[in-house]
Amino acid sequence: MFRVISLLLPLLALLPLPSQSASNDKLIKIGVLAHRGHDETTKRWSLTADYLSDAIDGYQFIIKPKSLSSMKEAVENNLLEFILTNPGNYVDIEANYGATRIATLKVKQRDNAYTSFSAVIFTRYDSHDINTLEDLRNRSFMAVNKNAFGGFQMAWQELKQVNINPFEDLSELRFSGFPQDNIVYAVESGKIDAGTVRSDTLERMASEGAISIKDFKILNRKFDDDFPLLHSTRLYPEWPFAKLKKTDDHLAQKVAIALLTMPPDSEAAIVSRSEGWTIPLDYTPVHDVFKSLKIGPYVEIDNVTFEKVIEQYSHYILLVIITLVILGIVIIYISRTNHNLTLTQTNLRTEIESRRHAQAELAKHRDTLEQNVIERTQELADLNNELQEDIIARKTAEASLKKSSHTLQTMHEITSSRQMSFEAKVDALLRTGCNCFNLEYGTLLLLKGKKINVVRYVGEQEVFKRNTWIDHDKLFAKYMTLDSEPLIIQNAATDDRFNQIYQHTFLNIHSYLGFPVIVAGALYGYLEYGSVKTTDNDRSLIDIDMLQLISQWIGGEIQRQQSQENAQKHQADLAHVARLGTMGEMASGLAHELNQPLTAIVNYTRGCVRRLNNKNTDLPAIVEAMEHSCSEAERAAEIIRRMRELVNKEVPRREFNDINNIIEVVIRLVRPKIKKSHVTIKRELDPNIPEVNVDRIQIEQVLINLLNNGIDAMKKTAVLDREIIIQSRYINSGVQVKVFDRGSGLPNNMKSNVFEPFFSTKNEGMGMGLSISRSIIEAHAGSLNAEQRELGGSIFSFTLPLGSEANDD
Amino acid sequence: MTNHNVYVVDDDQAVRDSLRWLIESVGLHVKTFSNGQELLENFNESEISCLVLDVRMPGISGLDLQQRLKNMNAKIPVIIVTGHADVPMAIQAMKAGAFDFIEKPYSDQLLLERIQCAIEQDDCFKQQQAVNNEINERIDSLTPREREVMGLVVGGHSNKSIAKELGVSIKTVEVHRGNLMTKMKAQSLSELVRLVMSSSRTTKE
Repeated sequence: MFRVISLLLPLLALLPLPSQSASNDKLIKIGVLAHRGHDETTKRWSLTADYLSDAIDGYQFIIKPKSLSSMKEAVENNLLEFILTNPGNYVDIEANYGATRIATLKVKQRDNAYTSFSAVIFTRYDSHDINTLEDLRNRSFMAVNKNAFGGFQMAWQELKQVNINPFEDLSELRFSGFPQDNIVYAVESGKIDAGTVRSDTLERMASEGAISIKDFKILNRKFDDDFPLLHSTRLYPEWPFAKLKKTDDHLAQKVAIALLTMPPDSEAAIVSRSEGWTIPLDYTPVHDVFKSLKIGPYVEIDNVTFEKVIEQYSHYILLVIITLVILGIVIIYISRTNHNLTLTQTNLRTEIESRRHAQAELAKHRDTLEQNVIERTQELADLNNELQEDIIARKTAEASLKKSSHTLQTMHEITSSRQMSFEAKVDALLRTGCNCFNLEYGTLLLLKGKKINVVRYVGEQEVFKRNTWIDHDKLFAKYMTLDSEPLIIQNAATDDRFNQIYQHTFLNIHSYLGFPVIVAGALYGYLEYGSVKTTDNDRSLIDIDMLQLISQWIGGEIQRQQSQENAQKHQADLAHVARLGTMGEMASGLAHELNQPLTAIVNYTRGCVRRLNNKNTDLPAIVEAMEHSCSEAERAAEIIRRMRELVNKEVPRREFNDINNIIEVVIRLVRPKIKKSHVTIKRELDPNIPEVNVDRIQIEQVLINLLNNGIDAMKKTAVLDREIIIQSRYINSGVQVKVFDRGSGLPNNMKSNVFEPFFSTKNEGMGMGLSISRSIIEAHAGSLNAEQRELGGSIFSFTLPLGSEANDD
Repeated sequence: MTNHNVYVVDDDQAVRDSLRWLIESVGLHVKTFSNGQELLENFNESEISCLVLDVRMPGISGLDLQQRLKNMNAKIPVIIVTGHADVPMAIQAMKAGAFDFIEKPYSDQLLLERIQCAIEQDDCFKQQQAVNNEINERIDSLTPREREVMGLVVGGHSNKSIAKELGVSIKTVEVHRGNLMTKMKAQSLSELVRLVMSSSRTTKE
């Protein structure tokens, strides 16, 4: 892999080259360390390249400025033929890539040329406690670059000699970067305790007037005869021109000759700030420094064992490792497979063992199973029989259910019938009970003290006579109480309790079913069914329930009937009370009314008597007076009859009546009160009104009530306004009667109350009138309404349907 | 007797007509009215001797009518008839000056007697009234001086003291006295006193 890349890279690098070559000359690239920037480097060395191109035929030399790292990369990838670099870098490349120096630069430094150079370590001249290199321990120090040979590594070597590791033993180590003048200024200004620069820097700056040498103190100063410049380290050879490993030796030789013969005053030399080139110097001191500092090519000396091996033999190591890993995996796999095989084998053995066991067990079970199957078959056969019996039982039950359902339906039809009277319903129910349960008679018995009354009886043989009385003790029923269960006797003859009872001994009842009938929580009587035959089949619970239901229904019905009767009686009582009340209110008025005809009669008759006594013979006049007298007597009789009708508690009677006639009669009845109260009566009666089927007395009573109310309501009305309008109309649904008054009207909040019993706005009223009136009208299937009159006062109206059927009779 | 008129007010025609029949049997004249208003419209005090009123009537009730007549200063005896009498009503009627208060049904005897009495009282009253009117006329014919002298004479003063009282001579008093005795048609001093007393009683009433 690495090889592939290393082969490809130079190819890629070569690609643009042909376009650059101006002629057919072979292009020779000189890599130059560009520590002061690419442009500067190109400017300084392009003339040298031109010089070489001129000097050597067939080759064109070009300058490739490189940084330390790019130089190394270019060299590694064989992109260069020659290099021109600082001693440090050279030594590095020499050691790693086998470069060979062919010349050393004669550097021109202000009128002199030097083939060697050094570094100067200095501090400010007034740093009194820094006099030797040792004094630099824990001081701040500045150099140009970590990789600069003259700029740092030479000084580092010197410091190392005095056991100072610049990276650990200084208070601060700072790299300023080019130009090195910055270091000089930093030390001069005291920002930094000491620094190092390439030799000649101080002298150059001083000659330029930037500094004064006197301001600085040179540490570890060395003196060499051939090297007059200030310096603190030993001397090291200047930059070498070197050929790379693969560069042709002949070319190298030609280049070396050309360089060595370069005149010091040639343009190329001047521009490169040199006096040409000399024979290559010894670069061992540089190697020594690198070895000592363990940098550059010697960086791995200390940990040669591991890192170096890894780097140099990485491919092999990798291969070995991969092989080892594969081997390891294979081994693990095999061992696992082996292990699994062993396990499987063990499992198989176990399984075989257990199968053998199971087989034995199975054989055993098979025997048992055969036995079980035989037994189970037998059980199933039994069960089947049971099921069949069950099915039969179910069918029976179903049939009985059907029967029950039918019975229930029949019962429902009977009980919900509207046409049948209560007695008819009871008879029908008794008959249903008998038919369904195969019994000969059914009867409803009423318990009164110690006697039993036969209320209803159904049956072919007359065991009981309807409406007869029997001693309670003589009947089976005496064993039943209010909350007892139905009494069921299969055969009275075989039961000690019953075989002495009259019902058995004389009436010959063998089979019996009795139910208590409860009305309003009390024992009303019994419902019983019986038969002279003995019934041997059991009656199902449903049957019993059914019969019990009938008894409950009868109980409920009797209760309803009783309460209805009570309600009717109550209503009648109420009506009577109200009538009496009305009578009371009207008594004085009626007395006056009665007095009128009586007075007239007395007057007429006495007048006649006197005339006759006086021998007055005006007979026609006397006869006429007697006639008058008679009609007045009749009038009195009529009033009395009305009164009696009103007071009497008569059974309601419905007849077809002319409502207008009723109104007239009522007005006459109420006349005394009308007069007394100075009320005018206005009639608006429809003469073509059909007759209505009503109880005359009751409707009269309602009208009397309404008129009385109207008159009473006008007590506070101005006398001239006291008017009552009675209106009769024929409307769709029947006849409507309206009574208008000019009274106080209906109290708003009491509109709904006016028909309630004992509601009254009058001091003397009983509050029964409107309540009774409404009951009466509603009993006639009509309706009684009250409304507020727009002009003031109220309107009471009732309607009576034409063919009004009696609602209650 | 035959000149006496009895007025009957009752809203019930039967009662009204039968009353007429009854009252006419004793030879009295009867006029009937169905209500109070009718009566008031035809009212002439001088020709009425007795008024029979039913208490309960539409419009103006019997008691109201009685009150109105009293307010008119009519002095006819009123007999109130009622179907159902109660004590407060009777007291009210009597206080208002009713001649009598009769409850229906009444005996014809009682009613006719009461009517007779009322007529007699009315006759008596009317005669008294006629006398009073006569005396008043005589008094009216006196000169102021004569009336003055008469007052003092009736007061028991002697001629002498009267002359002194009035500042005239006894002779003059005697002349006045003679004149007024003639005008008053009084035969004696005692008769003069009776006439003046009766007049003053009437006037007071």
